[in-house]
Amino acid sequence: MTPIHPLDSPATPDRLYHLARENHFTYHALEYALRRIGTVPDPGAWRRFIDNMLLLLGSALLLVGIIFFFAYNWADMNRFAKFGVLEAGVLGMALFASLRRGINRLSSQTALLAAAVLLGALLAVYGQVYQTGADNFSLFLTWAILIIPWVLISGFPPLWLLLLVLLNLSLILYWEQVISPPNSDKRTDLFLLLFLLNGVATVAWEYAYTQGAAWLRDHWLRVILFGATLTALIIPTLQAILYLGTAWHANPWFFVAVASYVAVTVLALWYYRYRRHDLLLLTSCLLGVLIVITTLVGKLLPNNEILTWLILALVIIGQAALATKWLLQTANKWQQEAQ
Amino acid sequence: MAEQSTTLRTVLDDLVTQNLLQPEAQAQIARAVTRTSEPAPTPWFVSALIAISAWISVIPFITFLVLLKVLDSASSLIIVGLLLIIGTSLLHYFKKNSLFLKQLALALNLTGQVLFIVGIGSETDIETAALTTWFLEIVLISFYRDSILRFISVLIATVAALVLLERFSIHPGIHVLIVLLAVGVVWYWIVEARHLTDEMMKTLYQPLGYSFVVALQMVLLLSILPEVEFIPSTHWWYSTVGLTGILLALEYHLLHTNEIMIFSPQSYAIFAATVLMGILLYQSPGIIAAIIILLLGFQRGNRVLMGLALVFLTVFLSSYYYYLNITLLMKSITLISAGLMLLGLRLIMRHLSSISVAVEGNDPLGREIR
Repeated sequence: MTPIHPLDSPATPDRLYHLARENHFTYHALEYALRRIGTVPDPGAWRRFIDNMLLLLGSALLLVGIIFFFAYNWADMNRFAKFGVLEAGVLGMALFASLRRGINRLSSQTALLAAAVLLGALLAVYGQVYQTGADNFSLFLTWAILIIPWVLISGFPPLWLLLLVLLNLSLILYWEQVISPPNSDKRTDLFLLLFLLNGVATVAWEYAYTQGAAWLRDHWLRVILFGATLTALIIPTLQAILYLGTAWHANPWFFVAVASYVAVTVLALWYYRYRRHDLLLLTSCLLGVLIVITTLVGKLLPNNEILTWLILALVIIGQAALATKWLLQTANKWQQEAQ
Repeated sequence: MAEQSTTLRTVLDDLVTQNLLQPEAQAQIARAVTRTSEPAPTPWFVSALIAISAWISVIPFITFLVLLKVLDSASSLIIVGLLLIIGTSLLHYFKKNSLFLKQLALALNLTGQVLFIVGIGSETDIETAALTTWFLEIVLISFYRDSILRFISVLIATVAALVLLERFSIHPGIHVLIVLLAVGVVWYWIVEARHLTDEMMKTLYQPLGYSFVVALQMVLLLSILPEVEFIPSTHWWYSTVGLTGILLALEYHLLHTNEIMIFSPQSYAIFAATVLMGILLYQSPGIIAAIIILLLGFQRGNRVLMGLALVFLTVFLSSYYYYLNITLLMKSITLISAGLMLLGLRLIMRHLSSISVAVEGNDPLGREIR
């Protein structure tokens, strides 16, 4: 393969900043170059930004206002008016989304999100009016199930996030209200279930991304999914370490949690290092490792020894230094591979 | 519109055409890019990892020193603290290539700062400790060339400033502090390209720029804490006035740099909406500050700044409605009205844009078409 001429490499912001730091550009030249590659926005980009911000913020305030309105449970309003207003809202938003020029437009997707949120308010009012006596988990689960078609057709990350939040809430409430296992103050099994739920979502996300779903380019959803998955595993792992040698025989889930945490961390470090380059998720993994190993060392070392504290401090710094070194090396390696 | 894969050659050719670069400089730049083994810049989350681990390790370090019984008096706190600060500054200076020693130095430096400040406070009084902290942080920012420590130093100095204002009962001074921090934020980020090409500022502006942003939001968090008697809630409008003025100035600058006519309907709509927002949110300067940072973040194409702004905007907006002393019904009506107003403003902006394109021959933001 013929190496490309250095000037034919992409003009990235980092490269331009680097050249400016080495005094190859004046202030005006750098500013012009940044504008040329689109880092500094042009008037068109500003217009779209302001338009989108007004749409998102306006819709968010409107929706929260409507939720507050029904949370107030206005006594003077009869049940038919309440249902009428909410159903008209859901229908109106869904029609707006379907009648616009394509579901891929931000305004259509925002309308669909509004319809999904209003549907939740409708279900809550239904529960209030008819005093169904159903557990809260069933409200969230029904809500989640009903919005699935919209979520699937929307290709809108916030709607997927709403679905995931609803499923997590349903699971937590189901565990608390229905299963409510005795002598399970540590909730290790609940955390493992949450790990499974969010882990499946993360894997599905990664799979869909590899299949070329363009709307999944939004990086923040992956960060949230992976963060939720890892957190759901780190908490029971820390519990397992803190109860090392005492409650392990009474709680077999501790072993499952630790084994799952180790497996997921190793897999994630490999996957985001070699298969999908993502330094942020690698950093999250290593922060988790730092917390877990520090807790383990703290647990294993005797509390009353002066040197314990010095060792603990050095262990933290050592891990952070190793993690930083590896992360920066990885970033440099990727940069070289990209050139 | 930005192209997806603009090459360096295209940009350099454009710069030459615009007389912003000498044609012969292209060869130099090509050589610089070829020989470059420019390290990838340290991302913010890796810096955060280093800072978090340094702070966590301060606790076992201090516990170790306490158990060692070397911290038995105020003067010993000062001496040990000073020794750590000086020692780590030297270590950082002479061992620049060892990552472990650099991070050890950072953690021990923070430990030294805690011991030194607590020691001064115990030996004298809180005011002296706060003043000494200010002096210490200025010295460290100047001489300790580490982005993370410089970032943390500004935050510590901001806390020291708050303590001084409280102790000397100069409560309105917080509004001056807020305005100064906001001016600092705007100055650091709006002329980022100038800082990058300046010998002194190229290493300083990023840690200071981010720390001014965080410090500004940190101070403004006081405006949403109900239990704080530091500043009566009725006085927060002082800050709102200052921040609204800065926001207007920033908007003027952005319109000007984008060659958009100041005397166009769109510009009037933007200024009017800003003033209206300042009036309606007179008790919530945090929302205005978050909008300033959001605009700066977008202008610089900086996602970290935008992320910080959006997080704080959510916090300040939520608290604004949470603490509004009105019924839930009135809150809902206020929220619905505000939402409809923003959506209405969007329609007006779109309408004005289409008018200016159709009638005046301008592009959608009032920019003259040449």
